[in-house]
Amino acid sequence: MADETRTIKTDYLARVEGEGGMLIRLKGNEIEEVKLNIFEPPRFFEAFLRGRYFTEAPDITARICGICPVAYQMAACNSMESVCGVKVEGQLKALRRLLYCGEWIESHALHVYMLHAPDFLGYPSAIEIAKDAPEVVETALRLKKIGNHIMTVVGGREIHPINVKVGGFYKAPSKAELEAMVPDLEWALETSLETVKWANTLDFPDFEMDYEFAALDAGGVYPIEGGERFVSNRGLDIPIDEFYEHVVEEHVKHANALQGHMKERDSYLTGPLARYALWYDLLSPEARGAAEGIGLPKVVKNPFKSILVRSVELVEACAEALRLIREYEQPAEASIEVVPKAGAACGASEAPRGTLCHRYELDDKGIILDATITPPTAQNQPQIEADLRGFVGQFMDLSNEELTLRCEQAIRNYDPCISCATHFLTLEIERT
Amino acid sequence: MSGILVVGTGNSWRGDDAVGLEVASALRGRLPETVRVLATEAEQSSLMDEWEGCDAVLIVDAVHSGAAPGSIHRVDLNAEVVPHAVLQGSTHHFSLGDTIELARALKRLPAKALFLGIEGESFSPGEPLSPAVAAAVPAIVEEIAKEVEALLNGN
Repeated sequence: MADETRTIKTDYLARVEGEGGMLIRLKGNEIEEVKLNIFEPPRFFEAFLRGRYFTEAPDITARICGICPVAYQMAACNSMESVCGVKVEGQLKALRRLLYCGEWIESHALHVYMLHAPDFLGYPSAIEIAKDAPEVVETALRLKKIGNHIMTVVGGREIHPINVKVGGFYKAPSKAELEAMVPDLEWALETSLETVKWANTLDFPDFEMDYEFAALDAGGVYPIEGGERFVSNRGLDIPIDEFYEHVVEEHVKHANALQGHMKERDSYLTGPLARYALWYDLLSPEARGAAEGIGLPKVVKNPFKSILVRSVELVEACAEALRLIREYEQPAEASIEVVPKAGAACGASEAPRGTLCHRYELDDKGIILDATITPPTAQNQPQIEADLRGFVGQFMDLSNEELTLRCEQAIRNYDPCISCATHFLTLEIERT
Repeated sequence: MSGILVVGTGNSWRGDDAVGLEVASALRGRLPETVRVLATEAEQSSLMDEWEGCDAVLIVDAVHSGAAPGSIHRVDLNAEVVPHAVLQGSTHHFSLGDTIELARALKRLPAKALFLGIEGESFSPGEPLSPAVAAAVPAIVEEIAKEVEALLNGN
């Protein structure tokens, strides 16, 4: 028995070349191997960006992910504006934050209800939930639609918003256009408060990890559309421009991908758990109230409870969107002038699933000489592997089937992004 | 019949995965003005909002089944369940197959719902359509034009 070898294996996208899979090999009570290959880095895009004009980066990088195009646009804009020595502030910055709230609402609603909840409720997917409890899925779809609508009104188009540019926007919406969204957002806020209570009725495995939490420091507000510093609960506190002096990307053979590590440190976690732990005090009264209402501590170390924290952030995004609309005044100009300069800089934003960092080097004509993009999932991948090791070590007695399900759930705790994933259908034809 | 939507979906940066988008572009100006044509790389569950209130939806996407590149698969979504393998989702995305089945469960599939899949050959980042798939675009454009005509004639 002691020498029995168990293998836990899942191919997430079994028929999609090389995109996603998990292998855990146990020998008796020893974990021999944990391999995770869930992420394909956007290397093609980095190569494609070289030689392009600096203003093209937001639109090109927005295509990397269908779920978080705004995250890519904002990181690209922040980086370009930093190279060129300009700062987007005031109502233009507020509009960017509002656009980003739309993305958080859309992405968090999708993940909480349709991707993560099935694991907790014992359903294979949201489709089966829809058959038994259609109102749960309809709620998620309506929340998502409201998030998408913000992206349409502010961003011009809900996926791959086309209204965003380096320096601001092509066109600023009127106050009336934004105010028209208020009734829907009020419904979304109420619903997200209910979502937090509903998520708290789920069962969570008794499991905690001792994380290094890392997130942007946005200078006195909960980090969303940007931040000048990258900080952690273990003393990391660096200007975002020094990101690549502290985070190194290592090529991991089994994953055929690059994974982010902090130099001379262990794995770290970025995303909702980290933002919440580091910046709890900056949450809106509504979001803090929701957390307090279910007795959620200020630091959550059980990764399965990320669904609770994601729900609290859903409240935050709705409350923040309402506040931004209330305080909005249409700016006279939709953008500020940005003159290209030779140089290099990093820019980052808080994608729903964690910190996304871009670095660009430009020549004096504004041509991109070099581009580096480090998405949150690249940074989280070593931590997900560490979670899997910890979880399997603690729950080794579970059957292979149960352990496989729990490990898949442990991966979904991170809402991992499979960047530039294909959309095509895998079609199996049986002929008899 | 009124309220017809033709959706071409895919990823413009992933080789033959772009074919649904190409078909949608080729259809512009080819169909009566009352027919809405949408090319979208959107997260797929949002498609349900796009076809809300429509009497008919035609969805065009790339597929990968091992058939000859460029061959066309036709699935009447109201008569057939999408093959299980199509439902292969991921940790992150909600796939087109998921969306179709979710719409079915929520009774949000239009009365007429047709899927046209074009067999892809290569899905490598940054590649153009492979020749066999590019060559299939005019044929699928014609097939859709005929389908739309039949729908408009009440067939």
